[in-house]
Amino acid sequence: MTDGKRKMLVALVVALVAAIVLIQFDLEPKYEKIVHAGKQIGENKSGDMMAELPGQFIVASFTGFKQVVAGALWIRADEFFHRGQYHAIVPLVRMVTWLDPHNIDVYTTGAWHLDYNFVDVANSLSDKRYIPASIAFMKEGIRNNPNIWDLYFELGWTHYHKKLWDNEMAAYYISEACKYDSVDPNSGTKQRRPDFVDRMKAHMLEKIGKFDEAEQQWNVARKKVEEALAANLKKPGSGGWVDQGTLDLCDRNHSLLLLRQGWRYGDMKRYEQGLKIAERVKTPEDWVEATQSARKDYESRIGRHWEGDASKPLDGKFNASWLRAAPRVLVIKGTVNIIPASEYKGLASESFTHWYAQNQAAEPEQQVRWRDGSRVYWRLQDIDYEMPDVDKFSWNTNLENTVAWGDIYVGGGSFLTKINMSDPRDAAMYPLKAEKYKLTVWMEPVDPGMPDYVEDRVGWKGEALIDSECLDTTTRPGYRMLKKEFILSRSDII
Amino acid sequence: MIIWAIARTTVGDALRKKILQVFIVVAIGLIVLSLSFSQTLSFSSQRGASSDFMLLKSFGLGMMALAGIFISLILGVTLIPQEFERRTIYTILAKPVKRYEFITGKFLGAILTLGIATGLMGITFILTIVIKAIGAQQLSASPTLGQMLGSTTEKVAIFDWNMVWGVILVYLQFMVLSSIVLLFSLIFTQTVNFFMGAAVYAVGFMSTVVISLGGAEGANVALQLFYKTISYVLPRFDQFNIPNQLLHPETQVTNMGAYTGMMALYGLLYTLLALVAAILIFERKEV
Repeated sequence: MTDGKRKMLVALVVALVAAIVLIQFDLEPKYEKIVHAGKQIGENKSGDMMAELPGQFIVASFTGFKQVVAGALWIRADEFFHRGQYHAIVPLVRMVTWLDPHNIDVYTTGAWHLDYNFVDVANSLSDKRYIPASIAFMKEGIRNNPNIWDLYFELGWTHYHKKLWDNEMAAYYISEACKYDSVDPNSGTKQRRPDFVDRMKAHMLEKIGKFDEAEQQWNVARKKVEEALAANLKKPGSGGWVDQGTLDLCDRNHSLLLLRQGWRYGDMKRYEQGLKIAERVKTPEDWVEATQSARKDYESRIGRHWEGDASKPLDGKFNASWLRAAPRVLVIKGTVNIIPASEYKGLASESFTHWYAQNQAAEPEQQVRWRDGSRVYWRLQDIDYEMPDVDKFSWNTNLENTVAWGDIYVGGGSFLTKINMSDPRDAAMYPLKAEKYKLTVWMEPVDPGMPDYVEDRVGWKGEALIDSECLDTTTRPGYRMLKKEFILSRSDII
Repeated sequence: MIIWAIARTTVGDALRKKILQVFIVVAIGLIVLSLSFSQTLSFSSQRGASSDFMLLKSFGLGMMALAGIFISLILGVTLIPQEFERRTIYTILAKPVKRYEFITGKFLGAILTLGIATGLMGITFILTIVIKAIGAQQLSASPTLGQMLGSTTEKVAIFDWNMVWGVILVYLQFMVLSSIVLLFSLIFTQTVNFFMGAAVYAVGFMSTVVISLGGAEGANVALQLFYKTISYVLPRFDQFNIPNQLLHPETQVTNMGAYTGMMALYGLLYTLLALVAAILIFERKEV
């Protein structure tokens, strides 16, 4: 070959490289456009979240570099998350856990993602239809990692308690978490279970009214901290991050459990036990003063007939209604007698909180007539909707259903919220294909987000609540709630 | 004429290779066998006919790609070194055959062989889907029979042109891979070349991951540049795959023709680049 021809070929090579790179720049957006056709990556109509798993990842998984591929996919999922392409994360998460079933973070993040991140545009409400898949995913994680606390706790706290408001199941899974320690993913050595897990079990048992077991758990939690402190004395750091503050935390919560049994139900034995534990705690100053004040209250009640703050009935006067403000826009509003400021006058818990006294002492214009901050809850669903059996693992979600719920802030004894299902971008979340719908509006002291001071007046399970029209004692046996139910037809909404 | 003669001889040689025959037969056999999958895998039939087709198409395309990649690698790796081992290269080049004609002829022979293999697999793949679709249409016409068999009565199209596009795109990636392996065969030994070719394919196939690695939190500028360069220099084999469109007919394609044309141009340019580089190297090689 002559030099001239060779030079020409070299020039051709350079030109080809340039052309290829230029085409490559042009191809990238075209590829995205064609493969995803203007939709979010991974989004599809069938609800089958695995349907669009990129093929190259499946092939790569057979190469043997399972954990490496899993790690790379996880980075890719993170990228999608930051780009807001949430649908694309789901199949990646699935793939990562297939490749690396012991990657706890992927289970917890993936399930959290399903529960919390598919949010509508108009109301910032998450899509509740994905909750069964999320729970099933967590249960699969537990099956793959049964001997560590992490996923049991996460399932109980993040999903059952925070999302489904199911304290019974939350207590069950957090109790399960308390049976296991953790494992350091780097070294494989056993690690001490964090103390908050044990404390959370006690809180959950309290929420479901198992006060004796809750008390026992506070003792367990405290003992665990004591042992850790002793271990730290022998070998610094061996007991983990615990100090006197951790011990005080246990005592404060433990004493409050007992004190509240005293205040709410007039159980003087518990009241005294609570005070004894509360008096062990020497900081902060407010706590010590509140404890001394409660001691005086306790002494003043000895020998007097008293059945507790929750024994005095409180008429909830619950009223809720709905109206269609516009097509696919519902307004829920109502009133509830929870809780007038005057209801706190003379309560035993006042000796500790002084809320009523401070309100009375305030300038007249600063005094409040209501103690705001309680919550009313609503749920709108197809009339025959039932949450699928989550024990059987499935990523298939029936996106034909409509189900949504949320809570409403109560201020000045009234509440109001708008459920806007009209934004076209939310059409998939609110298909509204059923002919009939059930709208439930209720208030229940035990629900998450309800402040302690509501229970101080009406009891843990709403024992003080009465209402001539809306009292419900059957939905959750043993608990009293205020509830109103409406049956809506499709034409009422759209 | 010389190039064509070399190409024809190469095709004849290649098709006589037992290992290539085995790959083609196994791939075709598995594609046909995939017809039974939707009946044996309960999860598929429960989800309707479109899911059955998704499974069949996904599997068929996957088998074609897998077999084709191996054929491309094996063929490309042995294409030139074999001539040296047999010493036939000396007699060929002693004749009035220019070196670029030899390389071009060999390459043409290789891609013709791949074309035959892809054609056989592609026809089988499309026929399999058509047979399945005809069966599904009969069920759809007779809902009672469908219910008796526990199958879906969902309507499906008998022929989908996207399958043809899919097969063409699969073939284009074989062509690019063969050209790279041919180029490598002039530099590396056969074993090294096999793994180098496979590595180029794997990295090109997972280029989305490569890009992600470059953008990952904590990656410094040098790393980002490294991964970006790799993603632009190595062929983007992932972009020859359009499974989402092919597997999900409900996806709207905005400009499929333009995209396929662009991919064909991209594949041809890349092939040409590797071929010219191979010619340049072979011109200076002592024979």
